[in-house]
Amino acid sequence: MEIPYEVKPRRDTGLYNAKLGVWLFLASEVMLFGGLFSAYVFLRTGIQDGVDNPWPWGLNVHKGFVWLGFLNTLVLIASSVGVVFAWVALKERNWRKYQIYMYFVVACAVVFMCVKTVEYNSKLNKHHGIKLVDNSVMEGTILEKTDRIRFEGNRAVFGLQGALPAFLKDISDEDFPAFTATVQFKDDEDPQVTEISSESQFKKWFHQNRRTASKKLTAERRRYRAEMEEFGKAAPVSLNTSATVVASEPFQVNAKPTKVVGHSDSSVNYRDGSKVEGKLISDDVKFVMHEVDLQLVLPQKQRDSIIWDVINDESAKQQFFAKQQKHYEEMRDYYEARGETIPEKMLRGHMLNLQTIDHEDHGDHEEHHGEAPHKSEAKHSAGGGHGDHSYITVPRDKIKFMGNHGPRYGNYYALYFTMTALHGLHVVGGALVLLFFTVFGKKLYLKNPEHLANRVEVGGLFWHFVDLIWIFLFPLMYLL
Amino acid sequence: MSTVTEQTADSVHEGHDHHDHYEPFWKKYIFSTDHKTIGIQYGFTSLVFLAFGFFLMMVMRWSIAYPDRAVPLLADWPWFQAWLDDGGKVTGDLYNMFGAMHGTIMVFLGVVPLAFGAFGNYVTPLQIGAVDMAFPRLNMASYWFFLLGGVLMFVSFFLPSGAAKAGWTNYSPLATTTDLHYGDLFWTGQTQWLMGMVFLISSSLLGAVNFICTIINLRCQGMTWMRLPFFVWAMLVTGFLLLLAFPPLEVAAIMQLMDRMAGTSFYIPTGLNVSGMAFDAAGGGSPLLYQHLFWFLAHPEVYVLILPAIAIVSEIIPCNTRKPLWGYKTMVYAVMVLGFLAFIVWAHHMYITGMGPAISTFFQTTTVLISVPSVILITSLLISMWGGSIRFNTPMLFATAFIPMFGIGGLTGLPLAFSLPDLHLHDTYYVIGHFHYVVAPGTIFALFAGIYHWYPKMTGRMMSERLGQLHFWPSLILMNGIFAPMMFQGMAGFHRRAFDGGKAYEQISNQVFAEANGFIANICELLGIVGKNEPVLMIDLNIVTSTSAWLLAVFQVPFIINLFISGKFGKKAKGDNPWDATTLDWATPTPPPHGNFIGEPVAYRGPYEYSVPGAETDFTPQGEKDPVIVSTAEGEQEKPA
Repeated sequence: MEIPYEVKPRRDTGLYNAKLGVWLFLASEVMLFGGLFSAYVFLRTGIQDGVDNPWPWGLNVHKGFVWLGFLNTLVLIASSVGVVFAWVALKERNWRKYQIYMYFVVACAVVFMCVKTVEYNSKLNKHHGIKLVDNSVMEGTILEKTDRIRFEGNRAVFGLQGALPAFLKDISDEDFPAFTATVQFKDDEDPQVTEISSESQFKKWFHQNRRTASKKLTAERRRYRAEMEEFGKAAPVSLNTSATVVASEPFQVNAKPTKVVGHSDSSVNYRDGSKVEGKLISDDVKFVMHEVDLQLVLPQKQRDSIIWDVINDESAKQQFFAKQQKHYEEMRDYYEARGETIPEKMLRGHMLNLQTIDHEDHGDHEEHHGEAPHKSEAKHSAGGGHGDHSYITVPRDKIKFMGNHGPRYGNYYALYFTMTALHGLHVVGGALVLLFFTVFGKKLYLKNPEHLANRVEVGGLFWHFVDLIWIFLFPLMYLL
Repeated sequence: MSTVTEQTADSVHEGHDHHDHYEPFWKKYIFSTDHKTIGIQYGFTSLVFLAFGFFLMMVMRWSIAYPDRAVPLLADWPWFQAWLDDGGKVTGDLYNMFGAMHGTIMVFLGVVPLAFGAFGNYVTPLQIGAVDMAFPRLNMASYWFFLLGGVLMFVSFFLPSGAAKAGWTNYSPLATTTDLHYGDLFWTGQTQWLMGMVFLISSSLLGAVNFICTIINLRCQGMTWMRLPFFVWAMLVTGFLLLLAFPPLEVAAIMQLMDRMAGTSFYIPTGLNVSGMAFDAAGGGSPLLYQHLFWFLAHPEVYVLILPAIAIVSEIIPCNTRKPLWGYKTMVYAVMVLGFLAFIVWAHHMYITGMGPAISTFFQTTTVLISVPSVILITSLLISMWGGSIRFNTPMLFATAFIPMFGIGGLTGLPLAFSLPDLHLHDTYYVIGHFHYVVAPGTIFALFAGIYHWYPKMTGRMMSERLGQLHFWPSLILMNGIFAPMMFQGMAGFHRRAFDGGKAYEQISNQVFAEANGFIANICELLGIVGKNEPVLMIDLNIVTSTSAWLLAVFQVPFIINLFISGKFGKKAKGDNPWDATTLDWATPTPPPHGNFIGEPVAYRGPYEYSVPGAETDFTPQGEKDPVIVSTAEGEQEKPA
C-alpha cells in the first residue's frame, strides 16, 4: 500500500501532501504566536497609570544588547536565504553544495542560540530590582544569595501528609545535618525516635511515616464512622500527624522568600506549614544600586519616600531632584515652543521619571535628555559605570517585591522570556530537523532526490516562518 | 495506486509477503499506523475515559443529593481516605477536584476523541475512497500524544495535591494560586493539568492537519467536493476549528504555566491578596486575558463537540429513511458559515466580567447569528425524515432522539445569548442543563448511534437489537430525568458550584416545584424522594437528578455487554453493506483490510442516492457504475429522471 501524492503534487490541488500539511501547520502556528502577540497588546494597553508597573522601553531594557538582537535578525535572515540555496542545490542534484548550505543554516541557528544565551544570562544574573513598600523602585544588582533569608536552624516541625517539607530544599547539599527525628501519633503512644544523617535517609523516613500516618488515620476514621452508626455520636478523630526533627549541630537554611509566609528572630514559617526554629542570621538584602525609579510614587510624596532613608545619601537625593527639575523644564520648553500645554498624563509620567544617581564621584552616566520628551516617558535611565561595589543594605520589612530581571519582574519581562523562549524552541526544533535531512538524507537522495527536495522545501517553509516571527519579535521587544 | 494494473501487481507482492511478514500483535494493534486501528484505539480509550468521567460525576451527585450522608461503597478505598472527611462525606476539595476533572475528561478525553478521533479516523478515509490518512505515522503520534495527555491527567489524581480543582475552565488567578503551598509545584494537579493540556493540544493539532490534508488531497477519482458525504464536510470544518482554535489555548496554558512555575504575572492583577496575604508577584496582569484566550478555544470546541454528532446523524438518517439528505448543499454551506461564526462568538461566556456594553452587543449579535446555520442543519435533518419509510433500528432511534434533544439544548441557549437574562442565569444549573442537553443526550446519543451503525463494518457482526432497545429507551428517559430538573433549579437560582447542593440557600431551596398530589409529586413519592402528601421542593429535584444519573449508569450495562459480546456472538452481517447504504465506506470488504479497497474506488454520483426512480434497488451506491441510469452528462445525475 502506498499513500498517493507523497512526492508528486495532485493535479487539481497542485500540492503534495506534506506541503499542504505544513501550510496548515503554519496556520496554527500563526494562531499560536498570534495569541501571544495579542496578549502583548492586551497587557501593554491595559496598564493602569500609577497602579501597574510602567512598561519599560525596549531600547533601555537591553542597554548594550540591542545590536546583538539586530545581529540575530541578520543571522536568521541569512540562514533563511541559505535554506533556499540548499533547496536549489538539491533541485540541481548537487549533493555537496546542498550539504554545505545546510550546515551553514544549522550554524546560523547555533549562533542565534548562543547570542540568546548571552542575553538571558545578563538579565537573569546581573540585573535586579527591588520595589519598596511605598512603590519606589531601585534597580541594580543584589549581591550573591542575599535575597534569601539566612537562618541558622536547629529544630524543624512539619506535617506528615502531602509532599516533603519545603525547608528541605533550602538546606545546602554539602552540610546536611544529622537529625534526631521524633514522631508521636497519639499522646498515649511511645514516641518513635529515628537518627537521620543524609537527605536520602530523610526522604525514606518521611515516606515511611507518611504511609503509617495515613493508615492510622484510616483506622481512626473507620472507628469514627462505626461509632457514629452505632451510637449516633463518637469521639472525634484525633491524630497528631506532625513530626519534629532536632539537629545535632545548627544547620544553615537559605530560605526563598517566595516560599515563606513569615519569619521572626527565632523561626521561619513556610507556606506548606513546615517551620524551622533557630536563630536568624540576617534577612537584609545587600544591593549595589544603579538607578532610582519613582514613577509609581505620587509627586508630592517623592521627597518623603522611604527610598531616601534606605539609600541614606543626601547628595544622591539632591541630584535626583535637580535632574527631575531639569527634566520638567525641558518638557515645559518643548511644549511651549510648540504652543501647547503639557498634557496631564505626560506631566505626571515625567515628574515621576527615574533618574541616575551618581555616588558623588563617577559621572559617566548616559546623556538622555536630548531626546524628545515623549520618548523618555517610560524610560529607565541607563546607569553607567559604577565600578565600585559599595552596596547598601535594604531591610526586608521595607521590601514589597524583588527579583532579577527574569520573567517574574514584570509583564514586559514575562512576555520577553516566554515569546523568545518559545521562538528559541522553534529554532532548535527546526535546526534539528534540517540537520537530520543533511546528515541522514543521503539514502533518500540516492533513492528519490525529488522526495528529499520536497522535504527540504517543507522544512524551509517552516524555517522562513521562524525567521518571520523573529522579524516581528525584534522591534517589539528591543525597540518599542 | 494510480492505475488498476499497478494495484494487481501490488497485491501479488502482498500475497507473497504475507507468509514471511507476520505482524506481531503489538505492531498490528498497538503501534499501528492504519487509520482503522487508530480509530478503534481512540474509540476504546475515550470510552474508558467517558466511563471514568461518569464515575466522577456520580460521586458529585451523591454529595449534592445527600450532603449529610457518607458516600456508600467508596469510603474504605485508600485513595478516598485522603479526600473524604472524617465521617466519610464528600469534602469541598474533593467536589471541586471531581468537578474540574469531570469537565476536562468528558470534553477533552472523552467526547472529542470519540467523535473526531475515533469516528473521524475510521470513517473519513473510507468515505472519500482513500487508502489511509495522508500521514499515517503522524496519525499514530497523534493518538499517543492523546494517551500521554490522558495518562498525565489521570495520574494527577494520585499526587499529594490531588488533581486540578479550579474548574474545567481553570480561570486565573484562582488556578494560579491553587496548591501553591505544596513543596514541588510541578507535581501538583493544577500544573499537571496544564502539562496534560499541552499534550492533548499537540495531539489534536496533528490530527487536524492530517484530516484536512486527507480530505483535500486523497479524495478518490470522481469524488468532487459536492459528492463528499456530509460527514466528511463536517469533519473538514471540525478539523479547521481544531487547527485554529486550539493554539490560543496552548498560549493560555503556557502563560498559566509560567505564572505557576516562573512566578510571572500574566493573569495576576496588581495588589492581589490570597488568603489575606499580599501575593508575591509583580502584578499588572489581567484575569480577563485568560478568559479571552480560553473561550477563544472553548467556544469553537463546543462546535467540535457537536459537528461530528450532526455528521454521524446525517449519515444514519438518509440511510434509514431511504431518502436523500434534504438540502445537502444548504447544509454544506451552513456548516461552513457555522465554522466561521464559531470563531467570533466566544465572549458570550463573559458577559458578567465587565467587558462593557459595546463588546457585549457585538457578541450578542454574532451569537444570535450562529443559531441560523445550526437551525438549518437540524431542520434539514428533520425534513429528511418527512415522508420516508423509516427503519427504526437502534442507530436510527438514537439518531432520531438526537434531534429534539439537541433542539432543547440549542433553544435553551438563546436566553444565555443575551446579556440581560445571562446576568440572572450565569453560573446556575440552567447553564449546566443547557450545555449538557447539547452534549449528553445530543452528542453522546449521536455517538452511540454511530457505534451501532458502523459496528458491522468494523467487526462483520451486528450488535444485538434487543439489547440496543434496552439501552436506548431508559437512556432517553433518564437523560431527561437528569437535565430537565436542572433547568428549573437554574431558573430558581441554584448555583452550579455549591457542593452541598444548595442547602446554604434556604430561601431558594425551599421553593415549591410541584404541589403535593400532582403527577410529579406522586412519582417522587413513589420513588421515596418526598413523603406522602408533601410538595416537591426545588432542593428535592437534586435527588431526582442524582437518582436518574445512577440509573443511567445501570442502563449503560446492556451497551457494554452488547459491545463486547456482539463481536464474537452477534448475528453475522449480511454482506459488506448490511444497511444498504450508498457511501463508499460500505463498498469495502468487512472488516476493511490494510489499504481499504479492492481495486481503485471511483465515485460516480452524489452520496445520498436513495430511492432513485427507475433504479432496481432503493439505493444506488456511490461507487457503482449504475446500469439503469447511465448518464452522459454530469448534470443529469443530479436530477431524477
